[in-house]
Amino acid sequence: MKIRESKLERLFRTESGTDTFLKKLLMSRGGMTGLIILCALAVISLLSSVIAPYSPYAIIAKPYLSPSSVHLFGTDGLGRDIFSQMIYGTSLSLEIGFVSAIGITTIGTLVGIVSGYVGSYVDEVLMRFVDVMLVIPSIAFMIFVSTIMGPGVISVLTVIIVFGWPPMSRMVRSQVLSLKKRGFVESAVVSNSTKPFILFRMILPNITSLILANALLAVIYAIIADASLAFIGLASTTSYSWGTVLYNAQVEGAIYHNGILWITLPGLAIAVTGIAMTLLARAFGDITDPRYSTEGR
Amino acid sequence: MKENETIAMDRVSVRFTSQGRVVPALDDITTTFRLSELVSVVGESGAGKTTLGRALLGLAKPDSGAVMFRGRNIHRLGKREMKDFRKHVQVVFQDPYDVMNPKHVVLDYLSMPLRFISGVSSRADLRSSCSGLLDQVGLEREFLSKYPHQLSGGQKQRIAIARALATEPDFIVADEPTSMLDASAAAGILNLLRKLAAKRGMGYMIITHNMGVAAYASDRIVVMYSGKVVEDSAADDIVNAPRHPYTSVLISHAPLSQRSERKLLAERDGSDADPDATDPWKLSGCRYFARCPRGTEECRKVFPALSTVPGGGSVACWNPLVNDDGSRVS
Amino acid sequence: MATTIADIRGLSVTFPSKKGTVRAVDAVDLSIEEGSIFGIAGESGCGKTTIGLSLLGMIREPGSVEGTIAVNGKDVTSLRGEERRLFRWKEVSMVFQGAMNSLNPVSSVGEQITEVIIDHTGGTRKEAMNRAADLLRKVRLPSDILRRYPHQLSGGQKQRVVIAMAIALSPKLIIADEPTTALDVVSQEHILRLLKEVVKASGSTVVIISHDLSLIADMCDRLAVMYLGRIVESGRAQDVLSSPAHPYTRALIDSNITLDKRGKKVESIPGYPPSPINLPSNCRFSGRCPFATNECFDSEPPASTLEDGRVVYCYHPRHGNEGK
Repeated sequence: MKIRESKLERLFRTESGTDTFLKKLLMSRGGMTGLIILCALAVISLLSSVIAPYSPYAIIAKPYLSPSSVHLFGTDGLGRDIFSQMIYGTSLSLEIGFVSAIGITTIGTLVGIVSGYVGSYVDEVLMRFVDVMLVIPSIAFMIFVSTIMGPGVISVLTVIIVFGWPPMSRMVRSQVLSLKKRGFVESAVVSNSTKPFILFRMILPNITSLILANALLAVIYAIIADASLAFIGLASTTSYSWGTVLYNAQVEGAIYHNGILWITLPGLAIAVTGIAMTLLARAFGDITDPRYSTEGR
Repeated sequence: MKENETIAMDRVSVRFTSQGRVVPALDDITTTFRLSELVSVVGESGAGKTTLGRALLGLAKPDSGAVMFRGRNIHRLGKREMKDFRKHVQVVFQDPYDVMNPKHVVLDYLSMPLRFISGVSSRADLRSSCSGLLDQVGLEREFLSKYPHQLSGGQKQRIAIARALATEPDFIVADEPTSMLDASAAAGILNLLRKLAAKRGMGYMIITHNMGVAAYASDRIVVMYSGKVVEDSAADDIVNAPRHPYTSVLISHAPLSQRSERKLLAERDGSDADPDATDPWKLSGCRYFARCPRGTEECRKVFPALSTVPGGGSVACWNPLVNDDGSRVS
Repeated sequence: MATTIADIRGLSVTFPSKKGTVRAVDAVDLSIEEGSIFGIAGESGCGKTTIGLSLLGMIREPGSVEGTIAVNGKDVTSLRGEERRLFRWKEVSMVFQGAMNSLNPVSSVGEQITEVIIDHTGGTRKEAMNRAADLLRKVRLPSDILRRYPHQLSGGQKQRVVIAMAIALSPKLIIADEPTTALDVVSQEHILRLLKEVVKASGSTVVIISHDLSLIADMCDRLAVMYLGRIVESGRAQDVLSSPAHPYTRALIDSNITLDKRGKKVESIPGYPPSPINLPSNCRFSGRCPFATNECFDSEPPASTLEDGRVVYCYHPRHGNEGK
């Protein structure tokens, strides 16, 4: 007996086979690894209060203790537990990553679709605006904006999203343009299909997986951007992200006190997350149509 | 009444920009197609035959000229009028492998014109109409729930034809319906189109580079070269007594059932130079001049207009291969 | 007597799939004479491209190859790594299906041809460039094409470049898989004529793989007709095409739309070929064959040799010709 596919499964149905998307993801080694890392990170951030032995703000020992069995990564200049800061930081870093990614993807997709599908002067105006956004040196502007808005999670998110969506919209637009020329979209046109039908039933389902893959990469972009802002002292100092830990390590001269671990940990965490996201995004790309990137008929 | 309805192209030009140059894909085409007609448009790639079909369907906008249907320019139709036009004139696209959304099943595909043109909305009605359409093209109703990757090229092409038939059109434009298919599947598709045309009194236009396909499937053949119509006659005349030298080249290159050494021994189109390299747009005269064995000074200077010949048909050539009295030029 | 350049014995190529093992090629014997043009005909999915890839040693995992393939005395199946890389281009080269899209869009024609030459023969860039210009002359392209990029060329020109690359190292065997399918009739003929000339001049052997019988009729000395992984008929092209012995060959010829069929009815072959998974043990064409008898449905017909040397796998050869 044939089991009816769910709507979601149908959306992710791949051109080459009948396997469901999830099954294929689990079957690919890279996708599986990425998924495991991501789940582990999610568990850490959800259970941060259980895993972390201390509050990240509590002064619980002497300052600048070296790593030991009591304080895994040592303590900072105020005598706070760095391990606990890292655990809590996971939560905020991932939040910033995912919230920004959602923002970037939503705006980028919307602008890309409107630009590519409507075309003519709308496309012209939107793409010139994107060009301008792309040539602005983003870090410099980020510094400028967050100085005005003051440090804090909200200003970090705003800055990251504002500078994150333009490349995404470019990519979506080019996909929409090439899909518009495809035979199946033209078939819908000569069938007198409505514009929403063409957009939502013809074009969108064929770029969903690509958008999702890029959303994953946007997560890591956002985490890195947050760390960069934190590193130059523009993030919130009242809540902990990996960037904040890195900032503290830098200003307190971690290397002179309790070794290299403190300053390398945040970078390591970001790198591991980055690997997970890249692996997942790659697996997404491979599972769905491998010809996406080259197609242009 | 329907038999006499036409789609007319009046001085239609379509220009494309390619590598910084403006290339006329269609250059000042004036011709009329009856809706009940079985016609083929033949030419090599780049001749403008696909653009002609697209202009006729309202998919390629002319830079000048008009395509007229029922007294209206189809490129100036409102939404409702366009819907009416799409009901009467439908299309089968060239590449059957790309014609269905990879995420849709056959039912979704065939439902589109029924929903958006015929106004069928209930699922049950859509399902029964679609199985009726599959039946017309010789496929079982089980195909309704298949995805494109589960179908062969010939089956996809049949389904593309079924979609075109959904609104019971008077005329179907089929762009290279067989070029991506095996011989056997190709014969099946052409036979299907012929059968449907005979049964429903429908006409069609087949766009092809293969004179064999054109001769097999149509009564009238329009030959195009470099955006111009160079010959337009009854299929019998074209096959038996081509007038334009280019037509005769296409005829001599068409596949035959039996092995023929002549094709590979004798070069009959008079150009040992690479035909791809000749640039017809530089010429003020006949576009075919560089490849024509019969070219004269006149041909080089002045483009021959398409003019009617005694006995029907028309040709654009200063030195046609058939004299006006019907005798062949030796 | 001509020598055999390629010899295939008991070749089976299988690919695993979810529904079972796909036997793309099933127990095929084939021998190709040096200096000839050999055609392999059949509908899509009959295994003709797989045979071409086998001759190049290009069946990739998870596909598996049984039987022996000898090209120019070398056992292709045992070639590995560097040895196999050098074997391609130098001894066997291929003009792929849709080859015009196999050119690298970001390097010029000259770079692509010289790369193949330098990689396989060594020598300086200058020598290779001269050789490339020489090759372009052979395929009748102007030498300024060397500096151009693939997107600046027409389909016919690209196909000529691909042919130039295929003959660059004077291989003994050239495999042309649907060499002209993407081109229009006039360019098709130019390309075919060129291929024929080039072969005559260089003494290479060519295998042409195509579904187009009129193309094979024009080009080939000998041919094999394939159906569902098996050869059903093979022999001299002229004999096979003028009086086909196997009903499938007959049907394939009859279904070909040609200029002289105007006003006649061309019959397509009814039905579809069965799935290449769980192949039947009877005659594979029996389900679509108008002449099939009980015998055909029961067991697979053995090879029989006709008086003109043709080999045909059918219980009722020539049945379809009576009364024609």
